[in-house]
Amino acid sequence: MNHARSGTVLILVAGIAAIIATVASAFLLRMRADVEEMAIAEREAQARIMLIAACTYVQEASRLGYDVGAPAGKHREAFGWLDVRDGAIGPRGEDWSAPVGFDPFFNATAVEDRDGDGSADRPAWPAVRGVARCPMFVHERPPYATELTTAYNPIAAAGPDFGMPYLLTPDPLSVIKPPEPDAKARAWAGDALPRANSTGLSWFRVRREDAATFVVTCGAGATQGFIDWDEVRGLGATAVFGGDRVAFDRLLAAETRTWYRIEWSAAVAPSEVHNVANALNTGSVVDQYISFPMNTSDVPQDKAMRSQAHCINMGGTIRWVQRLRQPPTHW
Amino acid sequence: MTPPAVVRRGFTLIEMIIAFGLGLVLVLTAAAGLRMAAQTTTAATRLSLENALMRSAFLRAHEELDFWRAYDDPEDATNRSYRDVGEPFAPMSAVFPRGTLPGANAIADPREFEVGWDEHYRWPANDKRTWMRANLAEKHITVLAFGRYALFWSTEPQLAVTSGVGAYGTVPVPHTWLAGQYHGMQDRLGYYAFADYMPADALFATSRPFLAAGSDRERTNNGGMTMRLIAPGTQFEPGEGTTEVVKSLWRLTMPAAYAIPKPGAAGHAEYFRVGYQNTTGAEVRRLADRARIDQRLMPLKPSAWPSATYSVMRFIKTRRFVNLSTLGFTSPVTGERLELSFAGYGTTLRGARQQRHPVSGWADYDNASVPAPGRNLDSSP
Repeated sequence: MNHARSGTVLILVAGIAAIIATVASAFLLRMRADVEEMAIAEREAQARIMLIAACTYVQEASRLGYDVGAPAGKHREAFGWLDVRDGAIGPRGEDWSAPVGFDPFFNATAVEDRDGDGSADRPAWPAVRGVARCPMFVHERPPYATELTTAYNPIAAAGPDFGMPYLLTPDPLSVIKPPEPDAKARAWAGDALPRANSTGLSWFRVRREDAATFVVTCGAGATQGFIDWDEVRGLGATAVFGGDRVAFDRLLAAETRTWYRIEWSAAVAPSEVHNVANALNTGSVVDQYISFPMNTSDVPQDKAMRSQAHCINMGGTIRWVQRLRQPPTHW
Repeated sequence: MTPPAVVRRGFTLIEMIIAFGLGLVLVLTAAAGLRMAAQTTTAATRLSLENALMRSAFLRAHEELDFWRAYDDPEDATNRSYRDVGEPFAPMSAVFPRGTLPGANAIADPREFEVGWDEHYRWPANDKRTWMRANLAEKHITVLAFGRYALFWSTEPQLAVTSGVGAYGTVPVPHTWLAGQYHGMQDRLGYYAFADYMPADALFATSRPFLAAGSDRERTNNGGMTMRLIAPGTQFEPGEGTTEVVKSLWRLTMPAAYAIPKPGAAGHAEYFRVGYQNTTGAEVRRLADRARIDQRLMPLKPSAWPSATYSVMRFIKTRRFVNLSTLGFTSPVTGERLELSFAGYGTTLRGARQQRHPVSGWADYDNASVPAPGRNLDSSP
């Protein structure tokens, strides 16, 4: 046999296999590049979600979240960033005294060190110039979590209860329920531990510019909303990043950040919606002020059943949103 | 000693046939694998390209969502066609400048006589001049059974009260500011902007001196409310059934939509009946034709690449300010068209106007010492 020719097939197959391996490698590299580029789009979407979260936070914080001077276990109600009662800068409580007016839930004294130089240079949130930094994650189990069961009381398709809409089981049911110990307390409290796969993805922070306008920063990344290492030091949070500035800077470099201005307003949808019974006395010059009550179920014959329950917002609205082309000096 | 003879034994024919056959199978299999790998790579390259275009279109749509450059480009003078009266990027100093009403009376807060748009005013809920005084039960064909609410609010500080149901004489009016805001803003920037600039609790009405005839903008009912805003089926009011009274944005846009048309298309002062009583879908198509701006992603792309477009269509429907983004892709091979749509959240019209200098370029915001929005389209001396 000719030894020089005995490996021909092997060489051919090996060569083709090498080409396939090269092509496969190129394919994998392309896919990897695609995934990396996709991460940019994902971060953009994640940051956009943070804009919505920040606006919602501003709306809720106009009324909720303050326990200054509250009895144990109680919360206090605020009356807007721009107090709806007297136009003063809020949020303020219901206790009035001269010359302060309604008691403020904020303090304008500088207590936070933004630049890590050892001296306080900005007040705490929610004072004007204060900052709320909000890393986002999913609770292991939120308070009052309910099961995802769709139908607790299915109507029997056969048997003695056929077709009977019995409501035998409460609907819905809590995730934590008897006979588990302390079911009620645990269900109400939830489990605030972050789900591991939801941390380090996104955050927002809000800086209060004046009474009702805010600079919102939306972040997709793992810096938890700290501006830079100086702020990490100033706020005593170096342990969050293991004291490793290089690691923080790497997280910072991989992050998407966008800046917006928003304005809050106390205005909510008016209760006029379907208030006056418009279908009555149609075409007549005679005005009428017959109104539909909330969640009405009784109307005159041949008239549409209406409800005005479209006005369910208690946190105000966002009057406008403005994307900033570059970060402002303070955010 | 004679060495043993070397036995040189060749393959038998059967061995050769089997060996050749197996070798052929191996080579053909490898070749088929190579061909498949090449085809896969080609397909992957095309998919990768399409994905890259999709990502790019997605990012561009979000950029458009925030910066509104399809409607008004601060960096391109040839694409700033919406800066005239009645259009959404007209400078406020030109369309609704600040000033003071003549003929002030002694019973009103002096701030009631201010007119024009004040970009710094927050419309605080406690400020009485922001409170609506319209009679919510008063129809557009009223005989004023519940009285004349024009006595409480009107655009005129000294109002000669007349109407088809009698005269009342001239009276000083305590509240003029809010009526002036609604009257002034109703069409200076288009209907979409009117809805955008008024607060969320807006009841769309204004109170004017009685005028039985004239344009819908000027004509009023007996009580002095502008017919255009309250009478069913006029210009601003879409005519939802028989609702003959003052309405909020929800009620106005339950049957219809206000939109920002694409440059060159009419429709700033128009509604599109895309909801209640829309039975044919023709109005939905009309809305899309007027308001959807398709932009090509890479006009100079290689001919073998898919063509990609992105658009953001802006309209108000059932009180929602909708930014409907659509990404479109057309295959050059099959001609197949793929569209992905999503609703986004970003810069509002008022925010976009605050981004822009009244003449040219951007109005960048900073807060180094105090919040400083910079001179923008909402600035009014």
